[in-house]
Amino acid sequence: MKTYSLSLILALGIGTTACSQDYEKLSNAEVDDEKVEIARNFAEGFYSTLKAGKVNSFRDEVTPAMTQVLSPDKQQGIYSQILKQFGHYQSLDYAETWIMKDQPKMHIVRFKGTFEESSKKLEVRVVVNEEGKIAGFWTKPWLDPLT
Amino acid sequence: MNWEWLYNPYTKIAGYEALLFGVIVHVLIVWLSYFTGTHIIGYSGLILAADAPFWFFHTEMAIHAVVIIVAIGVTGLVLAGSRFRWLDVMGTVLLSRVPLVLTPLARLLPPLKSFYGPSPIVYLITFIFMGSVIWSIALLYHAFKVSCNPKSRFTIIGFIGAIILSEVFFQVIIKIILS
Repeated sequence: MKTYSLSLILALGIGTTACSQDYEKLSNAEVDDEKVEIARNFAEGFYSTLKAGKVNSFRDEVTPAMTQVLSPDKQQGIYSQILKQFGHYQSLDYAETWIMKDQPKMHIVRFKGTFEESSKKLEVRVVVNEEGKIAGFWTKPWLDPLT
Repeated sequence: MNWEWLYNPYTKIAGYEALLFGVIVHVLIVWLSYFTGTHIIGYSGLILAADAPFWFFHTEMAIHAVVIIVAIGVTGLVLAGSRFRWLDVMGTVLLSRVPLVLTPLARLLPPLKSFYGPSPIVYLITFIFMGSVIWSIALLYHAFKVSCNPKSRFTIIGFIGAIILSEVFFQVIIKIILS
């Protein structure tokens, strides 16, 4: 019985190690504060502008691909959907930063967003590349696993 | 060593003692769930997200406890061979929830707190949760037998039916109240 238990623990341990190679959570000491600030300013600015009934116009702060993804029409679509489900944006709290192991300079910054009519926090996720440009932006229900 | 207390502690603890201990455990589970972001959605759901205030976690746990107490009590009324005290039902049912502390307790370990989604950690946490649910339901069955003293030959079927119906009812309530 002890042998089986030990084998199970070892298998899980090895499996855990082997399959957790793609992403890594940074410790507080490893977090790049500058990138967190870039991410925070972007996310806060994005939602505050839309809350005020305007749309964001991006220049050099985002990658060319993101300019397409966050066109004025799409921004309004995103916010109207969020407004309908969760109410107006209120605030952001920094949660954690992850990196992709094969692209360690690409930082995934996770914030917990508070919205007026939601008792649950939403995840506002911002990806900042090595040049400090926004390369990804999502808002979705918060889950502890990075998915 | 006698391991009976693991699945039937009610020969040693019942009545007010069980109720007091059950309430303490309930508070502990709620606090740990809140602290680790572990939503225990009855016996059939687990969400890992530190996304809500304390009252939200408390409401989830309290509603499930109440629904199970009512389900066991009503089933006891139907199947019991003699009268029983609701206090005993409340105490033993709350005590049966002790194993549910395992999942939020395990999530105090840093690797289980925040991790990359597809990793086996998800399966490990699910495994712990399922084990705790099986253990909790085993305790609940003994709680039902001790507190309600059912004599009917339909005891097991009645118990299973009560658990399934209460789980469905709980999921509906939780969706309506917390959506």
